[in-house]
Amino acid sequence: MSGPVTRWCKRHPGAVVVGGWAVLNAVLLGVLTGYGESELALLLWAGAFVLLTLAATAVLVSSRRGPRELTDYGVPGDNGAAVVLTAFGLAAGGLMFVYSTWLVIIAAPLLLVAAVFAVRHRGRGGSSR
Amino acid sequence: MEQRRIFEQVFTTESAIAAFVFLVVLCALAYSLIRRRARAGATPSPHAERQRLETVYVVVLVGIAAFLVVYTASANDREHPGGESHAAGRGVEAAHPVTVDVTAFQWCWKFSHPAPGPSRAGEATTTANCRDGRLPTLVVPTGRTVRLKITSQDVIHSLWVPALRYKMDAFPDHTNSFTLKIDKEGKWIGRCAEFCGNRHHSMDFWLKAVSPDEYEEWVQQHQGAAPTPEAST
Amino acid sequence: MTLAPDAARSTGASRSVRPRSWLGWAISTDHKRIGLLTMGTAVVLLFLMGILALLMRSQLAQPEQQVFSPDLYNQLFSIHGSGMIYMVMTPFAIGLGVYLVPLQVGAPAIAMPRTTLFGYWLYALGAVLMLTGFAMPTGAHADGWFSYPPMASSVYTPGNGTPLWIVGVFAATVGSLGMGWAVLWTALRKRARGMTMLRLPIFTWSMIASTLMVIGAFPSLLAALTLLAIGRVEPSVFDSNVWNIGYQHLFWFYGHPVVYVMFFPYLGAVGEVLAVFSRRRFFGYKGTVISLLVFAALSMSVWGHHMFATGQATNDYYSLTSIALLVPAGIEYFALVGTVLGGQLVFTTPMLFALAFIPQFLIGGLSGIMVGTPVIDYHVTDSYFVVAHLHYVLFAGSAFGLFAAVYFWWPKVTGFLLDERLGRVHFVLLVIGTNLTFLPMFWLGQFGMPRRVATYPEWAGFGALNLVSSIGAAFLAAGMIAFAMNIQVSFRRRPKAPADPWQGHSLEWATASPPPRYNFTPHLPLPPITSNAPLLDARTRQGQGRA
Repeated sequence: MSGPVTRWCKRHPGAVVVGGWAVLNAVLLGVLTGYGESELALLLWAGAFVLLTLAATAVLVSSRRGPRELTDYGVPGDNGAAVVLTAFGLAAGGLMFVYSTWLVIIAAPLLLVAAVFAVRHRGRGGSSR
Repeated sequence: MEQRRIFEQVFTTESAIAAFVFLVVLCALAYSLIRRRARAGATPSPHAERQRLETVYVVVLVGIAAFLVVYTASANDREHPGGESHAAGRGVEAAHPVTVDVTAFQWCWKFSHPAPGPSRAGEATTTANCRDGRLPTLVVPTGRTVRLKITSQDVIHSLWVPALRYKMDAFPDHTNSFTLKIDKEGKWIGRCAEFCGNRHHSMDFWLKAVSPDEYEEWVQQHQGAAPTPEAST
Repeated sequence: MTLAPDAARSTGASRSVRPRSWLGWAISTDHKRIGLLTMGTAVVLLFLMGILALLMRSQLAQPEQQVFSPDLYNQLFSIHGSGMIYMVMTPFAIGLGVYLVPLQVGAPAIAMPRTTLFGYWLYALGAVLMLTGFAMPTGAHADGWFSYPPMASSVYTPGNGTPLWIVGVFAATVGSLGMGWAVLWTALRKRARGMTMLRLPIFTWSMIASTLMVIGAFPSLLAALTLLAIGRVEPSVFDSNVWNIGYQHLFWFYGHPVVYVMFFPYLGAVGEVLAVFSRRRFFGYKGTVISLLVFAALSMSVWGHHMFATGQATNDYYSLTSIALLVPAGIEYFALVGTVLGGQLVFTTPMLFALAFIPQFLIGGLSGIMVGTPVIDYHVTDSYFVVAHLHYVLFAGSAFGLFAAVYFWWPKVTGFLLDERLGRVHFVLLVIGTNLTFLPMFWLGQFGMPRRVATYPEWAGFGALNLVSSIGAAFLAAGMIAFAMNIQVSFRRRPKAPADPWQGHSLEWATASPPPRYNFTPHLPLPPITSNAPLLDARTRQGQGRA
């Protein structure tokens, strides 16, 4: 029970969970294909499968670069002003769909200030995540 | 009323299974509540799992699921015996079902009965506005296969006859159809089941089954005439 | 408050903001604060959406009542449904994960705290935008939580209510996506040393399964909303059946998995509560983990069962996968019931809610097999039978899990205890109210009452059952008042909660109540992680040491 595959799986359990789950989706999608569902529905699910594969790849890359479990207990900063402003700016931007493009005079400055905050934050060595 | 018969059969079976499962779980809970209370002096079980029992249980579950899948799929097949060719084998009249064109609109129904045979003498049409109890009537003959072709003029509606235990959506730019066969004369309420706006709640109609002779007579009477809400009989 | 030594490495401009001020809450990247903001917002909205439901029940209590115009009634059910699903049950479930998953895996912080905070604010703003519709001259969105075109197009539903709903739901969904991704990444990549995947608590596993569905299915809702938005600018899009049925595929591809996103986390919470108050290890852990993942994958495949009556879906396949769901669901019930059967039960308020979850959700699940059967679904879909079914799943099931979670983790989160007596009053009223309100709806649907009707005629004979249902709603209202009083009493009297008031199993109970900024400190270190219940192991070892 300690073949290379098993060892690989033990080394990257997170990627195995996400990847395995994506494969389960692919199997079910394969069965649906046999039932003659419309292309739109099949494409839709295939798109979701691609997303899940990307997620599994991201986890795998992170897993290969880092340890299996967390050892670096460094913590991020405590100030998320930039993302809060971004959220407000985007919400105002979204409202352009409901009302009209004049809302850009609210959205744009908000996003600009958010960008300034983010840059200043970075300048102090903060994380961008 | 094939749909109703199939519904009753499958619904009864599934209800019985559901009731059994519910009772088993309830009994297990009741037992635990009485006998496994801390005050009753129970000690917690040291077992973290019982794999053999669980395996057997999973096999039983898969068995039940497989039975239900096959059972319900065959019921669905009986309810929808494929295209016209399938229905043809069921009797002479099935090859020429009585066709009714159903058009749903905000907020009522229109039922058009194309004249039988090649004569094309005009349609017999009933419609109304579904206000203040003015409901249109869908007249069909008993004992014959009736094919409803359902479409919509505006938004999605759904034709539901609760007594028939069946509904079918009405889409714009698309025609759905299903067949029904009513054994006895009578009158049942039909409703719109898909939300369609402010008067969705009052978008009702009557389904009325009359003898085939009466039906022929009714169609001839109403052919080419202006649409009326109610059958005269 | 003791900070972790690593906090010295914390960077960023927190100097100017006092952490306890409102601004300190609004921009904090502490996962516990973001989680609490999310759950707090969701609970406020739960009360609000509940009030909308009470208004509906007052209109339906008697036949032919016109307390509200049909137009206003349509707004009430649309915002009630949208609010409960997009803004209450989903965000609360993810918010619970944001709060608990880092603690349960022994991490000092959530992965991607900024994404999480961003997600919260998009959700909160989305909820506000959706509700703003009520202030519009044409009123709020009125086409239900799934808003099929062409009904929801600008031709048939003009006005700003629906566009606001589109933007609001879009924002909230992007927010949920961000938060979900952060939770998933935390569980997969931020586990403490020794916390292997098969030592994760069952709640964390339920969050993994849920967030997998979030990333797989939520983008489909964004696509559906985009299609709807395009159709509102250019209504001729919906002259074509392709886009009308296409919208339904896009919508339900999201719409079914989200039901399980609103279920698994609460199931996980119920599992933890049952195990702790049965004074034993969660029974059938591995089987439950596998069944959660299989359940989640199958749930991606069943969306078409919402479309049986469209006449445009491959019914046999969706029926097959829907019925197959009973296998993983059965395994989970095996674990829940098995945990209780071999336990030593202690009847605290969270335990009462968790116990009631078992039979009540079962009614929702068993009726779910029925609606997954085409020949039954043709009759009951879009009727009150479905309304009964979905409320047994989401209220009698998930919401009871939500309350179990609130009562269970409240002391950990706030550092105060909730009142057990008021908790029991809340519980009893809710059990009576839930069943009185939703059980009659099964028969109403059977007898032919369509859902989303603003009223019904007297001759239809729906009056008696609807009256019973409305009386049940009054019990629910009373129960929720007891809940609100309990929260208020707890905040006023502040009865101090110990670090581990319940003899918990998982890591969050090893730290202080409330946990310090970085969860674990040299004074509150991580205990040895020996299984999915490390604290139970430690107690067992201690007991053996003494004996």
